[in-house]
Amino acid sequence: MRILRLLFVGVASASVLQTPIGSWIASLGSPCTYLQRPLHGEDVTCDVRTEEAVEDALNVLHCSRNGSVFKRFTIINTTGQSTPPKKWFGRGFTVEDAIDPHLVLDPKLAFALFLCGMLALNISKRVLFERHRSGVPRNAEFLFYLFLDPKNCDALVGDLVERYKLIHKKFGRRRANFWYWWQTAISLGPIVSAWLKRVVIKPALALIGWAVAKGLVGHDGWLAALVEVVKKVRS
Amino acid sequence: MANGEHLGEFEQMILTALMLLGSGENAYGMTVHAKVEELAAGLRAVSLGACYTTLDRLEQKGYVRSWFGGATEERGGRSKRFFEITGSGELAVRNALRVADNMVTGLREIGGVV
Repeated sequence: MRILRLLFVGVASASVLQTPIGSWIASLGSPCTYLQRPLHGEDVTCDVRTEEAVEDALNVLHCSRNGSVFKRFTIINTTGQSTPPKKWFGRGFTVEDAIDPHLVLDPKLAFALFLCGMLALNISKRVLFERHRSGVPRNAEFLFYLFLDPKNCDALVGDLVERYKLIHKKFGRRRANFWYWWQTAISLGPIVSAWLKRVVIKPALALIGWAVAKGLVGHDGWLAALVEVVKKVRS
Repeated sequence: MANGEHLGEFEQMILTALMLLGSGENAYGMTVHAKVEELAAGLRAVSLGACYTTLDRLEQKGYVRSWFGGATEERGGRSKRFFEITGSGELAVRNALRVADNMVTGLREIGGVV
């Protein structure tokens, strides 16, 4: 999976480099290889019958001489005048490869840039998404933060993360996520009940106790009325 | 027993697990949970949350003491909470076991237990 991801990132970087913007970015301050020297007056003898064949022949020729792939060729006749290639179906002509000034990358450099791009993208992805990549499901974790005090929460979530990583390594992300959610579900019951006891029930009991005490001592109207109602119901 | 409190079944299991894990930094949430699951032998479901809430309760009762360790990378930068059984905790477990032992002995005498 990791290799596939790297491959994908690599291919994506290479694709970007093939675009004019990518080429421009690559050319910034980098020792990119431009074809500096058009090959004037090279004699090419090709028995060609079609336009494509001319271009193929020229491609082969220039590739073999420069080790570079040219994007465009202009074929000129022996008099030095530029002529559309279609007129040059025939035997024997001279070419000047008026090279497209567009960037032509050296294959080695292209490969180096490809690797750099791959690495850069992979690193940035790791930096940006580290928590999500290796992290536990955020929503499940948040539930613990709702009901536990910070220190206990950290300890409990840390324990779960420790086991989560093992499961993730062994069985993959999906199963590890499932395990984490399952642990959250079965853990929340006792945690919420303890939280209710601490936060809701105890204060409520204290309030009721206070009200009863106050009612018994001070004979407040509402409590007296309540006591009367209870007495009537009982009788 | 401390404060005249009685131990529940799950509390007994937690304290026993702490005794089995011993002192030092062996006993923290995950190891306690694993040990309790081992003791429960599949007869009851044990969640990590239940372990923590019970350990908290036992600490309030004075049967357990806890402290926090340093944060580690494998836990996503979170610290471990270590637990240790106190003297009164051990006494409570022994008393509970004595009661259980009496029950087993009594049942054996009438042939109710193998």
